[in-house]
Amino acid sequence: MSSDVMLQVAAVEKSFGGFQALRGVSLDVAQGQALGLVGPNGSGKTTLINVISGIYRPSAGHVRFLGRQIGGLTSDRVSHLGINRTFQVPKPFGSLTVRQNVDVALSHSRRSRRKAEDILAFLDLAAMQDREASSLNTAQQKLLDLGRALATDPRMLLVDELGAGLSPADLDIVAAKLNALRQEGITMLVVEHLLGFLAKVTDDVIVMNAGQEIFYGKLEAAAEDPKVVEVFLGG
Amino acid sequence: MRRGVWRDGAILLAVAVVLLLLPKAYSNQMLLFQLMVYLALSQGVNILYGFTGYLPFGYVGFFGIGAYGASLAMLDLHFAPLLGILAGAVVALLLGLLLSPLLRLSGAYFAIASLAASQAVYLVIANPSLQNITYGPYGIQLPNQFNPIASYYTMVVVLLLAVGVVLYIRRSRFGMALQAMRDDPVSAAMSGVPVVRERIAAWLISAALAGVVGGVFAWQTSVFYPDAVFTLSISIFAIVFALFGGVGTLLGPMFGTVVLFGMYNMIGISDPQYFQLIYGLLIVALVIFLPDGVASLLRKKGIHVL
Repeated sequence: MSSDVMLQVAAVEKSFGGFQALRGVSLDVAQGQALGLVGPNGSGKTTLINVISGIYRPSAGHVRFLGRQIGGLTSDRVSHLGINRTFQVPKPFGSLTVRQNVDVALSHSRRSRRKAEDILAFLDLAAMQDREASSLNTAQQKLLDLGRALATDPRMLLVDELGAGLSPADLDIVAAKLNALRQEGITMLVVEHLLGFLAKVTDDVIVMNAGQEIFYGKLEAAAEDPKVVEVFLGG
Repeated sequence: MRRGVWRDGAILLAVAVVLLLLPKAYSNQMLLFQLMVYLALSQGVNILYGFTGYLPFGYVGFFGIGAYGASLAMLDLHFAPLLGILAGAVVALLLGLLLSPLLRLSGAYFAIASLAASQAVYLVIANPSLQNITYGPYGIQLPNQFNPIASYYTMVVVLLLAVGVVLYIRRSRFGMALQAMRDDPVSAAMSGVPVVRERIAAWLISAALAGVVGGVFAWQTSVFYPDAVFTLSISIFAIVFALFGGVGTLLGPMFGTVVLFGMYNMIGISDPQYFQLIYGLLIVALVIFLPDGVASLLRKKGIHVL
């Protein structure tokens, strides 16, 4: 393991009853890298993120963050170590205000040097900070989800389909924000179906199918890879 | 924040003044005492259901075990009443700890399991073969402890304590975490909230509160059968009062208790079984149609209920 590897996933398996969602996935994410994760629906991308973020316990294999074993830790402890995430379907605290959503994470973070004002301003949510989170539209809730994650001052962000459902204009704005966060030094693992968006925010991609990695490399090269083409176009 | 502390203090003072003056304006002190019991129990339900979303149909179990814990401490260990009540609270707390794995269940499963647990405790206590320990089905008599005045004012203090706890929870980091968990436990955990620990803390606070109330009730009554402190209608009343007024607020459950307990005493005394039926149906209707009670109607009109 080279010294700049931040997250190491080694032969991770996850089954639900008889269904094997992850069949031995291994990947390294280097410090400062933005790695994309693509694959058809059901290929295990979100399951992998759920395992890394402590929502699922891996059935087998290891997850290490900065050399420390984190597979099976609960989400709050994973969060304290510096990993956070967004959710494919945003999960705000609906009855709390926008500001309180960020405050919950800020007040429970053991690391945070960030301020709620800065986070909300960065995400263009400052004007609606006193509104109930349930009253926001989906795009705003996705940003708030990102804001809640940022409030914990993560070293690494797992971004789960942040782009889905956004307008082209919003996509550009969100891509710019992710790039700004990367400039700040936040490492990222980005699950995304929108390849144009992915190309803007990541360097390399991993393509998954049926719970396994089938390709690692540049996004453009993936389009030429026969295995990837077969999976996406049904051979 | 500072202003909030003053406001909370003013609320506590106002509640205290009302409770201390009520006996002078209304002579049925027994009824006032029962009203306070339900005011406190509905806040206990509020802490659990309002801030965590767990509906404890077995809540009466903590009340009953508190009543028994206090009584047995006074009878067998010769504790003074106040110390006995404290012992009752500790016993309720221990029962809460023992039952804390129930919190792994969700929704209706939790509600039913907590109900079953409370009835199991009742059956153990009322069991004739344990008469040497629990005094069995014929209940408890506390000789020489009957003191309606002192127990009344103890209940005032307990109720103020309950109000204070809810006020604290509403403004604290702990309370905000509980509300976040209620909205979305996964997001809350990802925000760094130790979800399981906070949920158990709310559960234990709620259990201990019911235990204290049960202990004071035992002292006030001095003579009671096991079914008097384990009857399901105590759970149902506390839940329906809290739900009707609006959980997650302080004043909602108090409003619900005053209105519905008042109604019960005006027209329900002669046919109490109908009230159990009506209140049971009311719980179903409230959970489906008005989960945040009367307070949510006011909130829609822009009136924020404390």
